[in-house]
Amino acid sequence: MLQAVLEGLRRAGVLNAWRIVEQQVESRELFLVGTRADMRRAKEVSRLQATVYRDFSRDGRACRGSATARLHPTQGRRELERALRAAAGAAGHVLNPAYPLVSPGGPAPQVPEAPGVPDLGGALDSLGAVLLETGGVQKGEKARLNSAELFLERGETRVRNSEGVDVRFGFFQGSGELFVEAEAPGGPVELFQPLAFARVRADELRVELDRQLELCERRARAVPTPALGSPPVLLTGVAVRELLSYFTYHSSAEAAYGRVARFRPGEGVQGRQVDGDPLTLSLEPYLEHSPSSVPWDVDGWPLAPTALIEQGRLLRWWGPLRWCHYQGCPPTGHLPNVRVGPGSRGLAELRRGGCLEVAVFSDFQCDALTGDFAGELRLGTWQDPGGGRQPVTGGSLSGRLPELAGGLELSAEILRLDGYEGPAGVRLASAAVSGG
Amino acid sequence: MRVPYSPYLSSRKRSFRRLVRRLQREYAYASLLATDCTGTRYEVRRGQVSVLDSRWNERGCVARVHDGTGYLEASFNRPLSPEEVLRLLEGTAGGGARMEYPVHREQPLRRRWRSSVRLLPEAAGVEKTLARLTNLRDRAFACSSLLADMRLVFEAVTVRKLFLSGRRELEQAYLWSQGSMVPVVRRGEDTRYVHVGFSGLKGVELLDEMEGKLEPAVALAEELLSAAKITPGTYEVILSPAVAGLLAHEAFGHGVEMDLFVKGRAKAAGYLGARVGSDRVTLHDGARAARQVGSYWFDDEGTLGGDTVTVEKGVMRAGISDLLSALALGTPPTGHGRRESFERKAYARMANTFFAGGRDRLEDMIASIPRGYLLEQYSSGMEDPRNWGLQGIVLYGREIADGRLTGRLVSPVIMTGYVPDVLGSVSAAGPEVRLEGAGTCGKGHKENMKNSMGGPYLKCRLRLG
Repeated sequence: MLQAVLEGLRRAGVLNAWRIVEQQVESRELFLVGTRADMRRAKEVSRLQATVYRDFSRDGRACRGSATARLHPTQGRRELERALRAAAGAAGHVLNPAYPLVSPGGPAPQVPEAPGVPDLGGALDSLGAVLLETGGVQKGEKARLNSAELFLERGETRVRNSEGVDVRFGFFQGSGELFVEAEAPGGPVELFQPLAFARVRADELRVELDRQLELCERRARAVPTPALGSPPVLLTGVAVRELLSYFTYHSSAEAAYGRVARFRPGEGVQGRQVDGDPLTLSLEPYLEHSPSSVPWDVDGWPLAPTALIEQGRLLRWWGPLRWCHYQGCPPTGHLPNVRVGPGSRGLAELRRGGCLEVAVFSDFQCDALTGDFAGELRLGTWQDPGGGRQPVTGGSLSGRLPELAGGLELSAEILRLDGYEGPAGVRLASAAVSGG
Repeated sequence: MRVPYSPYLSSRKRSFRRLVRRLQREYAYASLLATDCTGTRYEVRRGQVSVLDSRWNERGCVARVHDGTGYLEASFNRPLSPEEVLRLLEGTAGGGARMEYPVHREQPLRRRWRSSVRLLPEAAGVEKTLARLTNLRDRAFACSSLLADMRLVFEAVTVRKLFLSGRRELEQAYLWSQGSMVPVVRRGEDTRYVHVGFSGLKGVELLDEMEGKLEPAVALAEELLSAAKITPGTYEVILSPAVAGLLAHEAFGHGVEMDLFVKGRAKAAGYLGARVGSDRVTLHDGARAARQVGSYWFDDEGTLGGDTVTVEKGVMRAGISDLLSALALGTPPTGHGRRESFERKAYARMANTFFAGGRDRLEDMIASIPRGYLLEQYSSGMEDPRNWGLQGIVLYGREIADGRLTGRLVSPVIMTGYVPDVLGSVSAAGPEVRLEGAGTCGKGHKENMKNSMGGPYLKCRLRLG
């Protein structure tokens, strides 16, 4: 019905173009406290968003205005039409330079279909059993599962527009959280790990839980971080993905159009002098482990692997059709995953000479715009130049990536996270560390 | 202007009642929360304008039942028959041991609430709202040659909810709005920006507040280009009301969410009746404790909002609870059971969280500090309820030396500490309490929602990096 209403409004001249993004979603959710289920939930929803476009000229300049409207399956024809007319009215006041919508055609994306999970409840039980079984057993007699949440979501996304694009694809996304705890001399300590997975693998969940239990035991043995000044730092885990997101932000056509991008195609992205590993980075529609993987973006653009940075040099801008049109460069679509080339040296080698290795932050953040990064240390290891290792906790770490980019050293080992495949560790020449 | 109630919720109320009655035939307890929230977000920056539906828009239902052992929930937004909702609830069944909860016994209540604002978004119109924002952007570019971008946002959301159970029929409609201005400046290779937030139970009149803050925001962003790095260490500091709010929220607010008491994840659970701060520390949390974006009449489980004093003169008095944690702990629910949307579970969540005011003057606080900082705007924070660690990222600090502001800025600043040490070090509190809620609050890294936080100017000791 929505498409018919939009076409009717288009024929009546109320709007000039439209796009619909529709998702049918089904989920099962499990909430655990210790080894007992606190709650179970089910969800069946339709998500519907329409974007309407108005074309006009202002001061001799061709404009395309747009406005979005979230719609609901309980809306009747009259209510839908009212919402879309209001959005079209709003779009008439949005003075953006004209840009095209995606047209049908082009090569079909080479992305495997999302795994079918016909029995969400059964899959949830299989994962829940891992937590109930493993969580009750104290790992090393000190660490245990405190609580957990698991969400399994499957469905279909369909993208249509007034140019004739009509693509659909299934998705499966697993997510959740693990909270583990361990006894420590000053009282219990805990660690928190968000989960994101693209397939139901009980064995992988068990490995992750064991890893978290082990890290938590280390936190229980940790001493307050000493005031280290500005030592070399080895970041590991999700902080690596967060840190490197700076490079994709400043390579985007949107940032370039907004005149905030630091990089230009053909130029270096790591400053004038590169003493560390030159960065090689591509954007990918599909990574096997990443639940963010999609074959088409929300405009219906067919996605393909795209080399972005090679040996520290930006090859091209990237981005959806609109921003690339503004920048006068070929569009790539909105790609959800980043693949970063590994470095030449292993983590063991990167630790040599002493460094603060950080495994867990409370919430590591790298400001994509400025490159400032900071985080409170939940668990790190201070490796002194003589080779001694001491788990540490507390205090903070901060620095400015633009000043350190030329000296980044990337590990040969690979880490796989939602939206990321690349070095498991990044060594920074120095970062300010306040003691705990 | 009165905020209109949802015609959709009004028209479907009878069928929702039938659904609850049908569920009650199968289950010892049944309730339904139905939502219809609508809003628009306006964004203006260099070379582009956007009119978007608000991320807080939603229309759907969540049914909750007690099946003899505990609670189950089903979320849906298609017009399902009672039998289809029953099928969805039955589909949640699974193996393993379960927590046992008593059946919730509610006091009967039937009531409708509606708020008022000075100017409804519909009355202001899209054209005028966008024109005011684009005018602000153009004014900003006219006053700074260093400006690389000027990002302005205005968003207004009408929240309309209906809660039905065997004994309750509650309806509410209110409107909140928020805005932000982010001047981005660049000199050579250095980029800096300031984020100034605005929020309230207000309509388009919020834009009036934004008008007056534009030039100071741009000037501050320019100042940050000359900001120095801070030397890590422990300092005497003065927190602005905004940063005091971050402390109230991250340091203590999350730690007294009582669903964490049930999980044994909150250190605060062992401190009820015990000292956690200095005499100058009194903390409030509640939907009716202030008028800000965390205000409502009833929460997403049909419990009326209130004003919970969590810390009184340094002594911890209470936590904040959703319904299930209150049932598990045998305490009265405090009206803090909140959902990101009808699609999500309810948790114990903050509403309006703030330090109460004191009698100390800001000038005296500055004069009392030989070497320290006035911390003025925050970027983000993260909780650690188990270990009472504190992380807050502050955009900048103003240096204080020998009892005077030197005019030097440091940026950014990360503040860390052990919560009882920090609260115990609070030695002065100003009289005027200000709250803001232009951001979002997550539980861990998800379940985002609106709430506000604040306080007066506070003097304390913090580790800065």
